Amino acid sequence: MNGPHAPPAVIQTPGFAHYSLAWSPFHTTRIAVASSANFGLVGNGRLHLMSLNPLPAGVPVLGIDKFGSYETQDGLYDVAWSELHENQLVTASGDGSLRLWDVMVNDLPINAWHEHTREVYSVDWSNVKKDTFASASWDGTVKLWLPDRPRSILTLHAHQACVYQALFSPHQPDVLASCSSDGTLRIFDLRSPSYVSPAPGVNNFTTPLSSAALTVPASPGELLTLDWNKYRPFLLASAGVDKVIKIWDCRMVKMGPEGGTIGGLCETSLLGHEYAVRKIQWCPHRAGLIASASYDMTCRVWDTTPAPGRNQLVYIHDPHTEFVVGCGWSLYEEGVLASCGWDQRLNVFRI
Amino acid sequence: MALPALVAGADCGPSNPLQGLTKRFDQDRGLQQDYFGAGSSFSSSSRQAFRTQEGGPLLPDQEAAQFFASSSSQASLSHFASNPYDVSTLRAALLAPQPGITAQAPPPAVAASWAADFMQSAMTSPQPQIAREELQLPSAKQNIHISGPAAPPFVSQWNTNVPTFRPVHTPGLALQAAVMQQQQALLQSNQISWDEEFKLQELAMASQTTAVEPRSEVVSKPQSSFEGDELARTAGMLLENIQHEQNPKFKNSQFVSLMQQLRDGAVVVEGNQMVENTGGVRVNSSKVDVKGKGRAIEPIELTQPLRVTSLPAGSSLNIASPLTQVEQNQSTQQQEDENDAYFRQVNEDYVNYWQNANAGPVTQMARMNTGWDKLQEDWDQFEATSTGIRAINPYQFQEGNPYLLGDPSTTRHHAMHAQEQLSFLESVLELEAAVQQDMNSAMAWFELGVKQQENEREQKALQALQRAVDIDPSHLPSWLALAISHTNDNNRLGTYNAIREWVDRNEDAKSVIAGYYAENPLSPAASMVERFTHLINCLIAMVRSDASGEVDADTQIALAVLLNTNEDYEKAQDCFRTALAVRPDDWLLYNRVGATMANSGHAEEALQYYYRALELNPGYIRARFNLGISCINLRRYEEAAQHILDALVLQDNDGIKDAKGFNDKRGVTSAALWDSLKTTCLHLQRVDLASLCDRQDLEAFRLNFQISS
Repeated sequence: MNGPHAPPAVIQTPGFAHYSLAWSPFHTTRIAVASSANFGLVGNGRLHLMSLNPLPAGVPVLGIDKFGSYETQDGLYDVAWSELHENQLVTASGDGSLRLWDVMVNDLPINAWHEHTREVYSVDWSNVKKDTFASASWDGTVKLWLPDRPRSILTLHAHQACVYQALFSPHQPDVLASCSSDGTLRIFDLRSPSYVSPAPGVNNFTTPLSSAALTVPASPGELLTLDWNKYRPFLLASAGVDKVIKIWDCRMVKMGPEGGTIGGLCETSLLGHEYAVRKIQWCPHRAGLIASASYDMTCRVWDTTPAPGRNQLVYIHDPHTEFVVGCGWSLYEEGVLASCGWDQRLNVFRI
Repeated sequence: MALPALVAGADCGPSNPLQGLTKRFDQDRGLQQDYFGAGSSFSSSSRQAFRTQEGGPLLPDQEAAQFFASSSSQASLSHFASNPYDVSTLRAALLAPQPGITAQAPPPAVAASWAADFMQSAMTSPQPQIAREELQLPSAKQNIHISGPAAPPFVSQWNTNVPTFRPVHTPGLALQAAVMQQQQALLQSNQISWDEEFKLQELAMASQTTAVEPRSEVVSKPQSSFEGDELARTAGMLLENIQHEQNPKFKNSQFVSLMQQLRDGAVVVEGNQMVENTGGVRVNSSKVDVKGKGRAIEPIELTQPLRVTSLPAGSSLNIASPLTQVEQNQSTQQQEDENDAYFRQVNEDYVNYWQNANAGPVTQMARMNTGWDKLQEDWDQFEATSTGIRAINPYQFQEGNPYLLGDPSTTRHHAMHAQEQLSFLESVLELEAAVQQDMNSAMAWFELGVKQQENEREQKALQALQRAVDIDPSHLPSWLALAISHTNDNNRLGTYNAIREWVDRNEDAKSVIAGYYAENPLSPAASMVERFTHLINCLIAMVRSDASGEVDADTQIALAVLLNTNEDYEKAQDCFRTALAVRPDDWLLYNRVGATMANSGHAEEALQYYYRALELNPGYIRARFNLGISCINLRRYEEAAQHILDALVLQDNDGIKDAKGFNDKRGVTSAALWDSLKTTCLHLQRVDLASLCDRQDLEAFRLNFQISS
């Protein structure tokens, strides 16, 4: 299935297991990698900044360089580039804090926020409302931030369990999706923040829950990751402990009682990963392609709408020797994918 | 992230990245433990055989169930571990004369429960690591078999029953609630056949093993003990789940080897670093693992009492094989399989042994066991004291009693030397402390019982008084008080028996009673009514026979209690009044007269008796409560609510408050009071207050009530 492929460009960061990567939306070759010592169990974190070597056209082999890094007190779990400022990026930390870095400023962050009470597992910068970013934490909340405000501007009590990822819709400015260890994917309309009316015997004051525009019971296990399709609004992918990547069409929803809706139509299921899927991302260039990183130590690319007779599984990237936890498509060069994992290696390769 | 965060319990999903990861690899352990405790170990492990990849969509309220199912693993684990090893020293002593036969033998024919016991004992011993590991062995095996292309027969059997279940190699974390239910149902329906299949499997496994291999496990078990912290345990769990992973990447993974080191204690977390263990944590040796690491031998550990060594004589194990063979085995690559096989074989031998033993013409052993078990059960009901053996009294003392802490003599002595009238100032706690200082004092139990009666805690009063008469059956006031408690408890037979005892043990009127009995023999077949009549007449005879002209209050009270029980309120009232004439300061009597009046429909008149009782003893909760009830009957609800609230406050004050300032034992205030208060509030059209009654929130009620009134 895999044709002859050039070996990936590799860069290693000894001592720091990668947790996430992000391609810069401004510079075509920049990648940021969030990493943690001791596999994120204890110890420090480090934010690495990498750059692909610009190579003459036609040379298939990619080169990669490191051009900076920042140390943090606690492990870093996620990173997102600013959509507003080419040199800024925000990181999510194990101690519940968020830090804003500027690549032109050495050593120290230019801003830091600490509101989450537990590990922040994801950050996402809205590319529609470009001044806003969101963080998702194990404390069950999703918070919205502006880089120049000292406090968060909105807190969603998104789930009663750990929230693993929260992402803005790339199509609507005030729509956000989150996934959680409770196995649900929720879509929130930020224009109408309200709380679920309390059930009998439930104290809404001590355990508030923001009302979701849509709740998708996506998985019987924990849901670790989700992504919005870049071409079709309200097409989402989710994956997690059940090892299946599911594609959800969330347009077909029926209004339930009390305005809350439960539903979502599972369009496709992608089976093949042998362990939990940690990260998925839709291809920015082709509507049907999706990349996934899994604890089975592989990164895979899938075609959700294969031509008749073609396999859904397009590509398996196998060189990683530990769990693969991050993957990301190059925003400027079609077919270039980066993956990172606990083997402390960032691999960049062409599909 | 600091270490405390690492070891903290999973209150909301994973508490650290590692734990989160484990969960991803992991089956739902909380569940498994539950099943393990409940059913046989075989059937519990069978759960691992089916995992589903595609489940139907969750209903919204299942989310919560599922979440709690996953996060409960910690809790149930600790619960499991805290289960005491139930073979007490008592049992050991009792069974000592029969060591060869019954020493370690649970009831026969329950082979699996032996395994369960074995696991349980291993769990409670300081080797949590290995116990859990073994617990997983069958399941891990199951996964291998099922994911293999050639599935053993039992797999297909399962699949026919559960067509929608896809067995998968690594279970996901949280089982879908629906799936769980299905599995449960299946477990129940197919348990027997499954067990049979499992035994077949076991046999096959056992036939491949040698007699030496089991020995290696016997030796290695104690060595692998490692007082693992939470992290090590988590690491162990994670490793269990990937131990049959065929992918060489997993074998070479640094992370996996780090997990191994963590599990074995070779690496520990110190501050913000992972460091090589320098002896801060006791490490006996590296553990038995997939890679077949070497193990050190610690002969001392061998002397630890393993239950394996007490196997029945019928076992074919070669326990006495020399240690050298064990060391040869250490290089064997398939340690886990051998251990597994060993346990299967042991179980098999055990089953066979007991089946043979039972199938034999003489089932003497079985009968003996049953007998011993019965004996043990009976024995558990009793306690040994210096004077003999008596039944265990279920009276629950309040915890953290301050009177127990201080000099015990002070309060008691003060009370002893004080005037009798002052006794109402004593609190329940004081009396409980007195009892706890001398558990064999009938007097102390009696006083406690009476105080509990006054405080409207009938069950506790009953228990205390029962204890008092157990200790000293000749203490007549105890019998009388017990009769009253039974009356309040609507236990007619109890009342009758207590009064009967009181009469029979009454020394003063012995001749009268004997005479009465001689004249009016009570036939053993007499009905309840006849018995009551007989006893009442006996008491009347006692009253009449009193030539001195003085009224014996106790006889009058006994008579009144009996009449009251017979719903002969008018007469009962007369008797109480007679007694009251002799004891004008007995607040208990005033209350009783009041209660009898109220029962006969004279609530208005009852009030003055209650008031008088409260005048004599302001802390008399029962009278206050009765006063409230009468007020309800008189439709004076506002007043009633105030009285019942006062009673509740008094009752509440007599309990121990814990550090957080509220009572963790709600039983201290009695439900009857709350129910009455709720009724009153509903009559007052105060639904808000009634809902506070449901929650038994005294403080909030008091505040709200005072504001509004």
